[in-house]
Amino acid sequence: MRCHTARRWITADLAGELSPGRVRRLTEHVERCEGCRRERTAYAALDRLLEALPPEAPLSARLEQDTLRRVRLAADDVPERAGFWRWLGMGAPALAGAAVLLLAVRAVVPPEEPASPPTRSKQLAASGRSRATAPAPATARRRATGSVPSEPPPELVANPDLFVNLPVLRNMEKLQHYEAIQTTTLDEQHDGPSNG
Amino acid sequence: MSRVARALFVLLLAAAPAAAQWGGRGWQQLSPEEQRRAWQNYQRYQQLPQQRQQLYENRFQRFQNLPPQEQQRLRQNYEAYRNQDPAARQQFNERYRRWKQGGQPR
Repeated sequence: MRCHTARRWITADLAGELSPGRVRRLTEHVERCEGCRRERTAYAALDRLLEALPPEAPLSARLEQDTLRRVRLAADDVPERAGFWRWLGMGAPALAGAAVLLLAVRAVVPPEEPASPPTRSKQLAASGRSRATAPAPATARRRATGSVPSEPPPELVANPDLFVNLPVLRNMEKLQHYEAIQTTTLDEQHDGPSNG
Repeated sequence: MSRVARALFVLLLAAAPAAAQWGGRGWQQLSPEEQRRAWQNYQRYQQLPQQRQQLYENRFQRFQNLPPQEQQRLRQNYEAYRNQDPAARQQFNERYRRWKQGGQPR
């Protein structure tokens, strides 16, 4: 297998869209190829990070007001300055604001693997599965994803359609407005400020 | 009165297939391929934070309440979405971002 193909399959695999045969071939390739292994690790980390993001990141009113106040103060302070110094005067508070926002986002989003969240262990314990071990790296977990067990977990049996349709649910809004999104142009809205 | 009861019974009989279609399927009704996908997705689901799991459960409720044709449309759109090559998918996601910024209803 070529790396080019492997890298296309990596994202499909992470989305659960790769056939078992391809998963096997991809796993074999990734075990041999360090570049693709790195690529998969990076994609898996990104995937987890995106999954961990809350639907809307909470931003404290105090942080928002503080940032806006700093920007306003900086704007009032520098009308006479020009060129590099003006840019620096405006840029520094903005950079500071961005840094604070970044820290806030990092505080909300766990950096790597969440350290065995109580809900997960509770659920696994409730379903009585032996998989309730310490969290492993994504690649290792993926290898554990074998064939369907002869006795699937009760949660899965109780509501299989939820899990069959999980990729659809994950992208539900996009899929509901698929046609409208397809016809959205990329250029015309670029100039003006966004409404959102 | 009995005529009304009979009419209701006929109505119930007529509605049964539609109701069955709207309800969830049992595990044994899934094809082996669907069972495999469900199992893999289940494992991924277990690794999600509770908030995200709740979000998907809410969406599933909404999905189940959609008419079968609409469910089918979403599945077809998903097939079209996943069959895009990475560049086209990235462009679609960019369009989605723009579309959302345009103040479209959620």
